[in-house]
Parts: sequence; structure tokens; C-alpha cells
Amino acid sequence: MSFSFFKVSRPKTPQEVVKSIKESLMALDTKTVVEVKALEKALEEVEKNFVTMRTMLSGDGESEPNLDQVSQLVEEICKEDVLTLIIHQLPILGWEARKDLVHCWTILLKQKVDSNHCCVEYIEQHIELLDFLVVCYDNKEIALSTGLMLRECIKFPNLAKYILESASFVLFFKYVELPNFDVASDAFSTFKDLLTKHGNVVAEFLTAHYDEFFDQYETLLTSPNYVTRRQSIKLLSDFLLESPNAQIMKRYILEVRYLKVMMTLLTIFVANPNKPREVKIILGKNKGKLLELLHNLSPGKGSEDEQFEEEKEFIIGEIEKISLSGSF
Amino acid sequence: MGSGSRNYSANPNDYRLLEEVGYGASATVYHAIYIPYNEEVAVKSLDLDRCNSNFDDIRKEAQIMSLIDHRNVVKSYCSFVVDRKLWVIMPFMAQGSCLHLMKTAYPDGFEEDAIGSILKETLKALDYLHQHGHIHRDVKAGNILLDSNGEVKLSDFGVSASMFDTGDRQRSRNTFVGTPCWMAPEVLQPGTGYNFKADIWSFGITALELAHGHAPFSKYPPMKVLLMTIQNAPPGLDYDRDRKFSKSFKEMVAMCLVKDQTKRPSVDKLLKHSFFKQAKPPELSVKKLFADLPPLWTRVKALQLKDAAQLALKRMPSAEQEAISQSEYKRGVSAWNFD
Repeated sequence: MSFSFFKVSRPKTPQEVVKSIKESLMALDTKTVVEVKALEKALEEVEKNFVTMRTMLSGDGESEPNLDQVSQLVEEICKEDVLTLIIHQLPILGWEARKDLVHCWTILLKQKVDSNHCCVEYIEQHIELLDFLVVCYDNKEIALSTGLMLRECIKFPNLAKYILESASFVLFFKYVELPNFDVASDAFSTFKDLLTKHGNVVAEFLTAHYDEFFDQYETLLTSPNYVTRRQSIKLLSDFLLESPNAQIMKRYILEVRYLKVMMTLLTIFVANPNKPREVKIILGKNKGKLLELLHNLSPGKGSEDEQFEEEKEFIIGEIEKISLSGSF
Repeated sequence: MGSGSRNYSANPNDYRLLEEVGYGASATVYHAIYIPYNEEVAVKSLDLDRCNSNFDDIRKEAQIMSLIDHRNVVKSYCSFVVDRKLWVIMPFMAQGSCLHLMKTAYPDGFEEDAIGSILKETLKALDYLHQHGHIHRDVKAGNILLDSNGEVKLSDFGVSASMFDTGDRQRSRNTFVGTPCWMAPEVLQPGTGYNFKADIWSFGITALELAHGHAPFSKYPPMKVLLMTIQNAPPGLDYDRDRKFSKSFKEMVAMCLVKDQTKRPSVDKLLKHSFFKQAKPPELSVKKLFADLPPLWTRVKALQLKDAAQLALKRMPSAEQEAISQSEYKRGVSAWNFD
């Protein structure tokens, strides 16, 4: 400590910053991890280097970042495979280091070098990094950090497209139902971005994977988890109504089984013996429309629709009761 | 991360709910036991049907609360969905809020040494939040919680928003965020930005609240408070009854309650003020406040009964309901107002 007093501190060049980040991350090898003291020290080193990177990328509050340096830093990070290293070491990093990393990540991805998104291109060439980030939802210690990083990635259509079509995508149907609300709702927010941010990419994906996708989506709509049901129905109407999805929507609304899902959902609201006042008001206000719609519904085929008819009658009865009892 | 080492399960059966210790329009707070550790916790049960905010807001709140790690800020251990409720598991603060304590036993406010400790701990919490980019937006005695050992924690992220967020949450709702008595003039005026200096104003109002037992203008309806905050000179410790307070306390309050937000000190600067330099540790000055009081739930129950008549008025148009919830708040019905 006391020696630094005599040194004239010369600010590090971007190349030097990247070099020390790389070295400090590599120092987190298996040997270090076993030894508590050594690990602590190595983690501190990473943390310190991330702060330096952060300052170089976004300034220190007093001075603005030097754009030339930023550019060099980004280039060097890609050249030295630091992104891969960062993502793989992420699960052992401390909270502060992860926080600085998330902050830098946003800037790194947006940064252009010679009019190219250098880091995005790097990720495209090392696309398994995205799969790695997705499965981090299984680790609730880091899930909120990796979730943020993932959402930054899928702002770029190519990266979103990759996830939609990868084997990892199906994992989201599991993650959005994780018991921990903060993680599950973060996963849902990423899931929502995937299905809404890039209309054409989504339309293409839904057309190609129509049956698998909607089969799985049905599990969300009928989930025992109230938040999942409410969020998934909202999201469904959001993306079905996007103009690039017009064909998908037309196909979806032709199918009786999906209508049944919707009816079940309506039943859940209508049959609730303790309907909150707001729900009653909305049902009451739309009573005429709802009843008309329900009376005109006829699936008109097959005996398996008996249950459908029964449910329909039940809902009609319940909705009629609402206004009769005048309970609000 | 000290508290990160303990894991709390997302299984409702692991929690035994005991007494109700607070409630608001869409949430109830229970004193509970986390059975695996046999540890007291608070369970805030948020009614998702009654909750106006969308899930994005709730998600952000839950995430902020779970990422927080500071001894003066109430964090959430975990949160999960139970039927149509969201359960948020938090540390149990056995003495409830400062507001509640004043309503029960100190109707004219606390002594200066207790106030100094409470405010200093609150300021440490704000320092942490501001450093991490969060504006609290609802600093008031009702959100400062006390534990039996004298520990002080700032709670309620119902309206807090991250400064890193571009979306302006203040406008995403149809009513003002926060409680008018504690709101800075610039927050009440349309078109001006909301920055962390708004928390400093609320902090100053909270200081007056702790000194008098109520916030200035608290007997007026919200719209009137709004106008008075904008038009009148800033409130301060300058009544006759305030003579008992030290010069440094008065000076500190006056620094916070400057209408021009750019002239208000940062938390950092405020912490260096002589009033806080001499503040006692809370185990000395705060702990003694509840030495002879019955347990929290008994106090809550007593206040609830007293206000039973008010509660019968629940089925009223929303404007009146808002006014009542305001007065309910003042009466300290909700020990922890988490809405």
C-alpha cells in the first residue's frame, strides 16, 4: 500500500486492462476454488479489474469515457476471448463483481467498432454462450444477473432468433414456473421479450413450430400458478395481435381446444366464490356482450364436447347471477 | 454477503403464520415462524387481485428487495406465489414502525437522542440505496421499522424505482406515488424530474414527524397539503415547543427542507453533519423506547379495534376511500404500511 505512494500512477491502457481481467479470471481455476483464502483474493482481484473496466466504459462520474479507449477495449475483449471467460466464471463471482459486469455488459454489446457490433458478432460465433446464460436460470444466486445480460443479448434479432430455435428455448416453459417469484418473473420477462421484440423473427418461428409451441403454451395457460396464468394470457394476446403474426392468430382461433382453454380461464374467474369487486364490475359491465358471445358459441361437433357445453351453461348461469344478486 | 448464506424455502408449508402485524389496501403482514430454522420472520401477503400495479412493477420491486444487502434496509429472503397472493418473506422487526410506536406510546414524538439514532440509521440506509442507484420515494416514520434490540431498518419498496430505469414510474400510475405530506415540492409539480434529492426532503419531513408525533400539514386533506407544500415556506423546528431541541438538530432539518433541490445536501454530506456525529448507537437510545410496552400484535389489535368504525366505511367511492386510507394511515392502523 505504502509503495503506491511513490509510484506515479499511469492509467492503464485498454490492452493492459483486458490483460489483467483475463489473468484474474483465469486465476479462478479449480485449484484456487478449493482454497478459501486464495479464492477470496482472486475474487477481489477480479472485482478490482471490473471496476477499472467499468470506469473506462462509462466514466467515473466526473469525466466522460474516452471513446477511442472504449473502442480499443471492446476490440481487445473480443480478440482475447474474454467474453467466454467472463460467462463461464460468472457463477463463482461475487455480488459486486456481477453488478459491475452487468453494467458493462450493456455497454459492451451496444459498442460498435468500425460500424460492427463487435461483441454481438463474437457471441454469434460462440453461440453456445447464450445456452449457458439460459441455463443459469437454474442457479438462483446468479439468475437475476444473467437474466439481465440475456435480455441485453436478445435486443439483437439474430441472437433472439437463435434462442427461439435452440433446444434451450423449451426450458423457459419450466423457468417461468420456478417457485421463487423473483427468478420466475425474470424468466418470464425474458420469455416475453423473445416473443415480442422482433415481430418477423417471432412470426417465422411460430409458423415453423406452431404445434409444439402452442402445446407447450397451453401448459402455461392452465398452470396451477395464478401469476403464470395471468401473465401468459396477457402475453398471448400481446403477441397474437402483432401484425406479423396475423396468420398465426387466424390459425389459432380456428381451434376448438384453444377455445376450451380460454373458457376454462373464464370459468376460473367467474366461478370464484369470492370475486373481488373489480372483477364483478368488469363482468357486470360486459354481461350483455359476454352472454351474447356465449350463446352464439357452438363447437357443433363430436360427443367429447359435452363437457364444453356443460361448462358453457355453467358460465352463463354464473354470469347471469352476478347482475341478479346486484352484489356490487 | 452475510445474509446470503441462509436459504429460505419457497414452500408455504414451511411457514407458520401467527399474528397479523400490519395491513394495507392490498397487503397484510404476519408475524410468522420459518419452521426449518425455528426463526421469526415477517410474511407480507400481497393480494394480486387487489393490486393495481402490473406484474412488471411487482417483479422489479421483488428483485430490488432480494438484491439488497445492508443492515439498515429490509430485504426479502424470498418470494413466491400462494394461490392468488404473493408471499414476500422478510426479517421480522418485532417493534413495528416508528409511526406505530408514536401512536401507541409517544403521541408527541420522541426525545432528541432517540430521533438522532433513528435518523442516522435511516440515513445509512438511504446512503446505500442511493449508491446503488435506487430512489426510495417513500421515506416516512411508517416505513422505519424497529427491532427489539434497537435495530433500525428502512422498509417498503412499494414505490421505489431504480434510477437506472428509463421508464418513469411516477407517471405510470394514476395517482401520486408516495404520501403527500412527505413529498418534495418538485415532486408535486408536473414536469420536473424526480431525483434522489426528493428523498432528502422526505427525510427532513420524517425528522419533524419524529419530533412532533405527526408530519407537518398532516391534519389537512391531500390536495391542501399539496398546495401548502408548494406555496408555503418550508416547515421547520421553529415553534415554542421546539425549544427543547438542539441547534444542530434544527440546522440539519433546515438543510433538508430547502425548496430548491439543488441546494439540498446529498446523503453523504448530511452524514457528516454534527447532529449525526454525536448520535448515540441505537441500542442505547432506541431500545429503551419500548421497554415497558406490550408485544406488537397486542398493540396492533388495540389500534385496530379503536378504528373498527373507520373500517366499516370500506365500501365507499374511491376518492373518499383514499381520504380515509390517508386518515387511517395517520392514525397508525397499519403498523407497517406496505402499499
